Amino acid sequence: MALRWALSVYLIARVLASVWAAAAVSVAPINVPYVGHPVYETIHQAYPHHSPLFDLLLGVWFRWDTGWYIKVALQGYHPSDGSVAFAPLYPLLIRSVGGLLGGEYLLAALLISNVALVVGLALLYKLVSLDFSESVARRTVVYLVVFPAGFFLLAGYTESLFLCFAVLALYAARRSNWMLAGVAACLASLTRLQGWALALPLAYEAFRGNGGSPLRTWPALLAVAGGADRYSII
Amino acid sequence: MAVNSLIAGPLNFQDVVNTLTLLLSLFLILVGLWKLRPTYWLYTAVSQLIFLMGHWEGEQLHSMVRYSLVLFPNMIVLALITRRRWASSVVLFVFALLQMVLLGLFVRWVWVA
Repeated sequence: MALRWALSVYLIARVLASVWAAAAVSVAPINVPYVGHPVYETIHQAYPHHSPLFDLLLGVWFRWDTGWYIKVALQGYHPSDGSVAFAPLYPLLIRSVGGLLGGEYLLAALLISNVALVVGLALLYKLVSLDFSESVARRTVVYLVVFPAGFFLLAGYTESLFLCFAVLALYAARRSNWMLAGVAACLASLTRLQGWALALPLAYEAFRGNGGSPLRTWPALLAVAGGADRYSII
Repeated sequence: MAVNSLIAGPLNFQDVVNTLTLLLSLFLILVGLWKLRPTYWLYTAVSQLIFLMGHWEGEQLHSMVRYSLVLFPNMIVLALITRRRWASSVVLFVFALLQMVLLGLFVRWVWVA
C-alpha cells in the first residue's frame, strides 16, 4: 500500500510538473544568467545527445544547483570556485550512474533523485503509519509533494535523496534496527549538511527504546561522523 | 543570522514566500510538541535551528522554502490538524498555486530557492 500510494502521488506530480515546466519555458525566450559561468559550460557534458523533445522534458531541469552537482560530478572540487558548498554523495552517484548511462549526467541526476523520492515517500508513509491512521499517512505524503517547493524533489537537487535517508534512519530506529539507522544517517550527512540534525533524535530514540543504555546511541555518533567525513573529503 | 537580515532589508516575492514558510514551520513545530513523538520533534527543531543560523549577504531567509522540504514531520502535523476535507482542500490549493508560480520562475532561470 505504501509503495503504491507513493508511486501514484509521484507519477501525478511528475507528469503535472513536466507539463507545466515545458509550458513555462515555451511562452517566451529565457534569459540564462549562467551563460559564461563555469557551471553553465557543463551543460554540453550534462546531456550531450539532446533533441528538442529531450530539451523540453529534461533540459528544463538543468537549473542552478543542478549544474553545480554535475560540475562536481565531472570535475571534482576546486577550493576557490564555490563548489565546496555542495556535499559529495549526490555528485558521486551522478558520476557513477551517468557513466552507466553513456554520459547522460543530467538524466542520471534526475533518475537518482526521482527514485529516491519514490522510496522516501513510501518510507514516510510507513513511518507515519506506525503512529497514525492510513489517511494521515496518505495526506502527509501528498502535502510534502504539493508543498510550494515540492518540485525540487523532482529536480536534480539533493532534497529527495536526503529525505530518503533521513526517513529511513528514523524508521529503522523505530524498528530498533540500529545498524541500518546509523548507516542511513551517515549517508544523509554525506548528502546534505543538516544530516547532523539526525544525531539528537536517533540518540533519544536509542536511549528511550532500549532501557536507557548509552551504548545504543552509537548510530547518532555515526551520523555526526558522516558529516565530519564530508568535510575531510572536501 | 538570517533573522537579522530579514528585519533589516527590503522584501521581494521570494522573501515573502520564505518568511511565510518560516512562520508556518515555527507554528507546526510548536503544535508538534503536543502532537508528535519527541524523536520527530527534535529532528525538526534542530534542523530549523541550523537553517536559521545560516547567513547569506543580502538574501533574507535564503532558500527557506526549499530547506523546509526536509522538515517532513511538519507535514505529519499539518496532516493531523487538517482532518476535515475543507481544511485539506485549502492547504492543497494554496500549496499547489504557490508551487506553480515557483516552478514557472525556476525553469525560466529565476532564482527562487
